[in-house]
Amino acid sequence: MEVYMKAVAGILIALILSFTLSGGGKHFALLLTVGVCACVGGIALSYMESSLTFIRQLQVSGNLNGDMLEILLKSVGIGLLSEITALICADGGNAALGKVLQILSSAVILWLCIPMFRKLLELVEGILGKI
Amino acid sequence: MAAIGIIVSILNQVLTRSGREEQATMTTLTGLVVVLMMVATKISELFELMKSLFHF
Repeated sequence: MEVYMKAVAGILIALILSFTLSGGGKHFALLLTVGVCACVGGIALSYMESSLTFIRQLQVSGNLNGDMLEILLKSVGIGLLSEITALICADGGNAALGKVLQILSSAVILWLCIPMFRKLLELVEGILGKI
Repeated sequence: MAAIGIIVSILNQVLTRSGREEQATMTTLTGLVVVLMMVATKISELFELMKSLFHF
């Protein structure tokens, strides 16, 4: 997950650097957008904290498998982060970076879901074996 | 951040009109680096929050 975070940060820095190199006067506007998005995203996440705690309480009281919930939460986090970053990239006029990030996020989510697919396959094999 | 941007823009205009293009460029770059540091701090805070919330 560290690599994914570094990739997102790298894309944001690349966007700002591309503006700097092009010599446009929009640097500060773009930096302001990124800063405000980070601040507001942080506030939104702090509000989501209680909901996520409640979901974890439900998982414990329902005696559900914690690994599946972790995958679900990670996917939500990756989706949110990639969507925000892709929109910032599109605002900065470099939609290609945003698209690449969305592709990367999809690949990471698929990679995260592999253990779940394996368990599903084992379950299906078990059911078919019993028949 | 917006305040720094406005101040740097004004300084840039003043220095450019008075024929000091090099100083104007340096002022813009300095302002950009300062704001970039502030934004990097905010992004880092956002990432830490995401890591703790979504168990990254």
